[in-house]
Amino acid sequence: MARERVIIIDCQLLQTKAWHRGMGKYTARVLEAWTQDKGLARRTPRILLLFNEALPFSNELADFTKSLPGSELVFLRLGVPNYDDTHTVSLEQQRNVAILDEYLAQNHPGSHVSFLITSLFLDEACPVFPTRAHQKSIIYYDLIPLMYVKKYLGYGASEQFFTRFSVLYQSDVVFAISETVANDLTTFLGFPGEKIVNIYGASNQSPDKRRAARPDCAIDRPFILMPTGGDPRKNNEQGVRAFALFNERQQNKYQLVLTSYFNDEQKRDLTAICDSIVFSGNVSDDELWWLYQHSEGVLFPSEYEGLGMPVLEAIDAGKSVACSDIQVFREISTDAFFMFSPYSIDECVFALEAMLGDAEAVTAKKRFYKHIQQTYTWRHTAEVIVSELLRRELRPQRKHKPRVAIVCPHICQPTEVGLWATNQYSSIAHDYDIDYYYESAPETPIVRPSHAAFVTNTYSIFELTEERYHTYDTVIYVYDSAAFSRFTLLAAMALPGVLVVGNTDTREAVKGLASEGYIRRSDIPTHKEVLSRSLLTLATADINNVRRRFMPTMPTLPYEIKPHTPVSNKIIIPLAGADPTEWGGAVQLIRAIRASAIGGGVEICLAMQRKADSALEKVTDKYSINLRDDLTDHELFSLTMRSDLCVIIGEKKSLHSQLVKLRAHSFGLSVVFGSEQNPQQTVLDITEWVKSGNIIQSSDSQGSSYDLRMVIDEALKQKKG
Amino acid sequence: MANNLDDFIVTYAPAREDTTVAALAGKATGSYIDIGADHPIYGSKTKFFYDRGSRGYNITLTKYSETIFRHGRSGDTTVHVEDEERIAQLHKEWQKTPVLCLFVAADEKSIALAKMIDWAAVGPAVIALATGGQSSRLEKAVRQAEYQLALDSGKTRYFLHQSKDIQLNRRLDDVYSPRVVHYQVMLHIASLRSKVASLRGVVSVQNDMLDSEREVTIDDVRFRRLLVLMLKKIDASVQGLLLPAIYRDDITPEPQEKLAAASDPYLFAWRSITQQYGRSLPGRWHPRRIVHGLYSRSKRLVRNGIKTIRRA
Repeated sequence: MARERVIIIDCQLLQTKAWHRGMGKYTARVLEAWTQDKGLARRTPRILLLFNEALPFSNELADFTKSLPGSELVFLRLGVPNYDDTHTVSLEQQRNVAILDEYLAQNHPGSHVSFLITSLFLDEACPVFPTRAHQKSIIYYDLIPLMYVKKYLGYGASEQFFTRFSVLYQSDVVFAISETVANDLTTFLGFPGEKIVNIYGASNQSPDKRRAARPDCAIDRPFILMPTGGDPRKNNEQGVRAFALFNERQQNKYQLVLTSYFNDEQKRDLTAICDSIVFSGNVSDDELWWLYQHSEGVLFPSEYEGLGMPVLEAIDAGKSVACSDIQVFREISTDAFFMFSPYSIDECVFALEAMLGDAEAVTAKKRFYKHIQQTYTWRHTAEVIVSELLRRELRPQRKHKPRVAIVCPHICQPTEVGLWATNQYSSIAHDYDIDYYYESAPETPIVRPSHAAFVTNTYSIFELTEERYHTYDTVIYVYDSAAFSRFTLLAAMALPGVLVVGNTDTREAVKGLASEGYIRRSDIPTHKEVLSRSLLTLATADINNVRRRFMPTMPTLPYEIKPHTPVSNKIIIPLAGADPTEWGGAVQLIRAIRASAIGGGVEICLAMQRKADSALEKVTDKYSINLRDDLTDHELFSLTMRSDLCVIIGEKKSLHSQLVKLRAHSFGLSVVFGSEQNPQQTVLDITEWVKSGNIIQSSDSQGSSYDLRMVIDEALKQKKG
Repeated sequence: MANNLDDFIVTYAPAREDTTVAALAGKATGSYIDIGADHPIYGSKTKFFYDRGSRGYNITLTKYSETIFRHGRSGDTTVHVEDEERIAQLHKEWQKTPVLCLFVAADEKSIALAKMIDWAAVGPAVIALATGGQSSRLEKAVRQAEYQLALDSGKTRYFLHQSKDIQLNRRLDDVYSPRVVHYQVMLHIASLRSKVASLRGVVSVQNDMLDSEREVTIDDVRFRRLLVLMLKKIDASVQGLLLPAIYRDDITPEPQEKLAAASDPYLFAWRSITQQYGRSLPGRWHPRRIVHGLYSRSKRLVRNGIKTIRRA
């Protein structure tokens, strides 16, 4: 007999303050579309909306739930966090899991349960998945706190934010609200593409429900609307500067209306740039609709958005949009908007002039609106969710999982290797019980927070004692370089496991260990001896025939990145050495490029996650190089995405270089390897790239590709054999 | 597994001078001389030996110290530093009895007195000189009496007779092992134990209350489970299974002989590194941290449980 299928939707979001913000509106519109559409409702199994007895259930919410036909309401007294004590989130999470499990055991024994969390990050609640659920899914809005980590979390990391990651990693399917968010989940957290689905979104209200009401603000001229907020990522200053320049050329014909709350200091700063701006403050849906309807056009200079609902609302109002050239808007349409780089005032002025002066262009762009309106509907969103929930098979939890230890450089350090190894977690955790042992290089800055510590067990490498070692089914050592992985190498020699190396020579690391007195000089092993001590060695090149050929892989982005229009030959040189002396290769290369025939024809950006020293600053000043240091992952990745060619300096086949190459490829960039010994050859390669119109044939695809899952499988197989 | 408080060794001296001397001498009993003794318990370098049945001599610097030593150490011989006549008598007595250790404090009076000692004739197994002041001036005389520096802990310099073999690493494992706990910490643990015991009372009352009522909500069921879990934990702590997280194998360094037996140099190196790391983190499995964590967790559980009942 077929089991009953139940979909439980965690609606605690609607009981919190977030109900009137973006996430709440999104969830409410999806639920309406889902339940009110007869076709969808017929396909959907039983829907239960879960509410928390401990949170308020307002009359407005009661009315809203009455408008959702066919759904049943369930009230449970779930735990809520107590902010006097930072540990309560995880304690309440555990408690809520038990309550939900008990509820399912008593009320739905034998049913197939799909559990959908509508928002994970709520200040007032602790949403969790019951362990008894057969399918766990989540709607994910954005990774802004992690991407803008300096502003929101600090590298010490906010416990409140990361504690909830443990729930995110349990999910079988993540519903991202845009392709950009889906790609970010893969880029920053390593989520495999097949786990993520873009469910789009739409503008907040359907046109038939809208009423226009004039807001109480000093509008006395034609105006441009800038729907924004006080957040730095909204890029208000650039937008206002560009508008000031544009308005000056138009004899102050326009006003700029900024919505949302700004504090006095922010208002003072922005008014100092341009006095023709009006702050509307927080406005109601009706007032916002009036502003859209009566504006001359909409300006949206944001640096990053999860979906960009205002753009969709402007389209509904039939207004032209000048917006920043970022992925999330490109995925809506590459043709319908007047786009500009969020970092260029000139481009923004140009876009505003075209939007308000070029009637032909406006008409041409508005032709694309209809197609966008057809794609971005709440019904479509609900339909994608329903079909994905029904299509995906229900995966039972694996009971016995082999225990695996992964020893690698610390995720917080400026190396791709630690990030890569950690980000494999989301794709292998279902089948293996993973513990991480991190090695930290001394005097190296922290460039990203460690979310892994909140999701699984993480230890210092020195805690990998012999006793612990014997409790694992296999141990994987990921070697980066002498600077980041000396002790990893020593541990790999003492307690053999699978060693993953590039074709980096390990002699330097071993010599370092000897000079620090950890091993005797008479015991210094050769490179071959180091490799042959492991049970299985994987490397990116053959040297002594003792290892298996290996090419690391990164999870493919679930959605293709929409390439930006190249405006110049923009070269990015990412520097990630542990030691500033390694920057010498970049300096030599810069000199060689500037001295060559292409010299002034390329724009060069030197990007690094450490702080640059004064010597490097002098060089970059001299050769007019754009030096960007102290970058977060997000800053580095978006800088890379906006470039045309990535030049990687250092050992070509090292694990780090290979990973930087993979990252650049995933963003659609061409890659050239820069040789420290022969910068002239690199210049020749770049010249060829410029001449060929920014195309490079990728040549090296030898060797089989591996992700950590394959490495672990192979190690376990060998152990059995 | 170290599951009882009695399994721990209590040290009283500020920088573990007592256990260090015991480790260097290879035994924890024997007569002692403490020049510059201050208090019979707090910060005492000799209480460790006194507890183990040894008796010795305390030369105090103040009259107050002399009084409290006479009270607290009735078995010892206590003399004020200015009582030269008595000290001269004692010096002869020391030459006749075997002395385990001679401690010298770093103040002027103690050093002046120590200068008069005939080291070779008294012949203590270990000489422990507190560093600072003019204590270095004593060293020449000590070395002339054929003593050699065995260990410099920064606060105290320890000398052993040249004829003795110094196996430092092996012995210091016993001094810095997490099993060695300072007296202040033990006091703290004792007070926490009493708090945990009182918490246990609160929990039992709540549990009885629940027993007498019908289970109506999921919260009641849930809360009862939490109570049962907590009772188990608290029982464990009160009955002396106080430190469930400590496995002696995890924290006790391996004997040096076993280390040396590892023929593989890399395994040897890795063992020493992981052991050093384990030793450098006494805080992690420190009894105080564990008990405190247990106590605060239980308190929170009880608090939340009571809140839940009220809400229901």
